[in-house]
Amino acid sequence: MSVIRTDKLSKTYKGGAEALKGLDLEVEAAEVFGFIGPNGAGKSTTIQLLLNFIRPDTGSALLFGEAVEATDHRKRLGYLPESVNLHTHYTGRRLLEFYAGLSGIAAANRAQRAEEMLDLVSLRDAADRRISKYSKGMVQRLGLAQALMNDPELLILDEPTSNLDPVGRRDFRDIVLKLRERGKTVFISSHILSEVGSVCDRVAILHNGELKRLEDLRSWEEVSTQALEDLFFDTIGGRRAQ
Amino acid sequence: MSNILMIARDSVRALMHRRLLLALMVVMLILTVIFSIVLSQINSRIVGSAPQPPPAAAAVAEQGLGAPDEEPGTFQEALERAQPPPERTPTEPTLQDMQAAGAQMLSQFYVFTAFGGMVIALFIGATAVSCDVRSGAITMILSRPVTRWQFLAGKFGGAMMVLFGYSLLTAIALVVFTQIHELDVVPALRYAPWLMFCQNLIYASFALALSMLMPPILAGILPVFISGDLFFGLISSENPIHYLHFLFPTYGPFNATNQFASGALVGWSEVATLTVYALDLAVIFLLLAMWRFRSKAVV
Repeated sequence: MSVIRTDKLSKTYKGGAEALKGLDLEVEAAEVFGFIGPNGAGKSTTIQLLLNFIRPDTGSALLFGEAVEATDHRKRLGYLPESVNLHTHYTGRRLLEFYAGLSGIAAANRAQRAEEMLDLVSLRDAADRRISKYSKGMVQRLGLAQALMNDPELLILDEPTSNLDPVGRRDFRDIVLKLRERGKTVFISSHILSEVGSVCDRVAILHNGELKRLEDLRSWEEVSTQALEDLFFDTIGGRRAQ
Repeated sequence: MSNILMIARDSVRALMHRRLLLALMVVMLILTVIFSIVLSQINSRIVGSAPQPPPAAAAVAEQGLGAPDEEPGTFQEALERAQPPPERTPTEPTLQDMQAAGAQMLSQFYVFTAFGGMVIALFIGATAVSCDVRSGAITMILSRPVTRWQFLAGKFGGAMMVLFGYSLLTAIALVVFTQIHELDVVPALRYAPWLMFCQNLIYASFALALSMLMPPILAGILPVFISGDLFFGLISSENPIHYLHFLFPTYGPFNATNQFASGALVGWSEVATLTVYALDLAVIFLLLAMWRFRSKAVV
């Protein structure tokens, strides 16, 4: 069964900007799927439609076989937005417990789960500090921790490493690879090709709201950033910087 | 249900960390203290200017008879001069004046706190959802198994808690105020804070509903002006726009200022009716807000 499925999904914003033009996409269980494209390609719009933050003009989207308007499947879902805006009046630990509560985790298990996630993203030392005192990178890591709180079957990440330093990026890659080993599905939207190439099983290249190419990287002998860049620029028809 | 409670609790916590709201409350507190001091001075002046009880009539009569340079008069004339009019005791007018002044003070104090409550209700209502949408924090919540209805209900629940807390503080302040200034507890004191809470419930829900359609600043201002009270005077006329009085929320009956001044007692049945009216309107506004919110883009 497809974990994510979209059927002729279209979205035009006020003012006439066509963000998405009839997107047909399927993401299978237990794969790490890269969703790449230049800025304004429609990546974030797709994610917003999948999470029911905005409504499509035409077409439909399903998560775990359910319409995205339903809420039951969200117990199996984790989400990290491009711009992580957390409630800054909490400490890191309290915030994770709050999201754990909303995810339906029993009160008795929330504290322990929060500890595990704080360890995972190396924020234990800052756990009791107010989030307003966190750096951007720390907020990003806490955002990843909240997305993983409910041990989701599907993780949707929108530009996950945008605020991370090299160490944070390496840690992020390790986390995603561990999730893949555990059979989780990860959907990564990014325009950083090296990041996508290092963890993804398949990639979809989106340009001007249209799906231009779907590529299975598992069939490649070697996935290099160079090869991925060539594929990307060949697909979108852009010129590479010399 | 637990999701609504968690969001409501989070909402209260967030409101308590909202600098603008805190600043508003601090300003209200400072102004209340200043107001109380000013009223205290007015109270002292009233007490100071009250006529002193006359000396004992017999003593005055004695003085009148005994002083050679005073106008001559009989003991009876001196006694009549010294005695107050038979139908009023010397202290009665002073007490009445002070009671009236006290009720007036209480009324002014209530007007002041009610105004603060209104501003806070409008602020909370207009920003409850729009602030989370603007910051993007809403996406982190709605990506959880939380329906939009639960989110909205939680936000409104949090607003209700804060407004109830404000009304409770007002009630305590009114009681303390009457004790400090040794004022009579007028009957309106029993229900005025509750009516203020009900009124603020309407303001907050109205502002919340409007915030789904327009910028929060407008949503926070319009409820004051879209009021059935504006058309009250037209009810007896043939002008068809008087029907707007019934269409828009009416705040007038919630204002207990007149009852403070007159010392009148509104029956509990009227308080219950007003409570039902406020809840009714709040539910209508909440449903309207939900109707818009369910299809509203939250990014």
